[in-house]
Amino acid sequence: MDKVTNVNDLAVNSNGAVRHIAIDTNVLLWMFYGNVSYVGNARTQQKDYQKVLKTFLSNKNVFKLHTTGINVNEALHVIEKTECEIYNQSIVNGFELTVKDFRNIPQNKINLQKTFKLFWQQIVRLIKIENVSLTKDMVRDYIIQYDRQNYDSLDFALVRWCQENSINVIMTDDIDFVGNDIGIEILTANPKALQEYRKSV
Amino acid sequence: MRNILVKDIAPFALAEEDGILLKNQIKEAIEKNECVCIDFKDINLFATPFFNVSLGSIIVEYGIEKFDSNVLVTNLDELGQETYQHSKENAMLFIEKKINKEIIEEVVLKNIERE
Repeated sequence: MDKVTNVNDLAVNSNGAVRHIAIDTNVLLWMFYGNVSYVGNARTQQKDYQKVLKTFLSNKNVFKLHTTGINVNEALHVIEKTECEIYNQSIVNGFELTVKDFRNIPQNKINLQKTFKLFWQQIVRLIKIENVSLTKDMVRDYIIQYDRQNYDSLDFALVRWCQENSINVIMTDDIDFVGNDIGIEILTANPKALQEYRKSV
Repeated sequence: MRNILVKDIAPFALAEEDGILLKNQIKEAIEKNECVCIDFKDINLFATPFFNVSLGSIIVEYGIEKFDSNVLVTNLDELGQETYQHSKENAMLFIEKKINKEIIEEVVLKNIERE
């Protein structure tokens, strides 16, 4: 089973070897999406991920960060859905606009575009966004291996890209990455994922 | 006018914990009715949560008029300026629409943790 490491236990390698780390969608959101700042003390993940990001940036010669266009796109969907639900519950008091209706209101479209643009630009300054396509072969392989892994097709695309590019660490908040055997170390601040791993080793 | 050099707090405007340190220094000045200049010289990495817990949070707590009369923000590059403006506009919307923080917390947690 792949090793799962708490982000707070990450050691800065001093032997000069470069460590390439792939960043999953949920971690991008915990780091860069503005509304996470309203999540008080209910979760501590965002503080841990933001802290480790500082460690990465302070040791730029050791850590190289990557994510994929698929992950950023997935994050944009989450942001759009989240903004829509906040709008429904706060601005129009429980009136249930669909995401499509929500985005078609001109002012919402402007606000969403601004949020997306900032999210993208902030990421691009720190993390290399890799071109990854969800190809026909990849979807076929995902279906074939479906009974042997816990994660979804978009996670599969990230894993496949990591394997093809010799990247052996993924930082994720997704518990679905625990309990697999894919030759990739999982870096997380998710207490449930860490607990699950401890139980199984 | 009191001057706060952000790089004395943190090398990047990224983490909420650093944003809270900045907020505390601004609060201290405002409570003494001092004007304060927030200087982002040499800072070029930004994340929206940092601005929300520092400057945005000050706007929500003291109101936009008090903020604009007491706080000056300088030396932000284009991305920093856009992030700051976005955070400021969101804080003003938060006040205007009386948005409930608990609702945002609940929705954000539900959607991020589903990923």
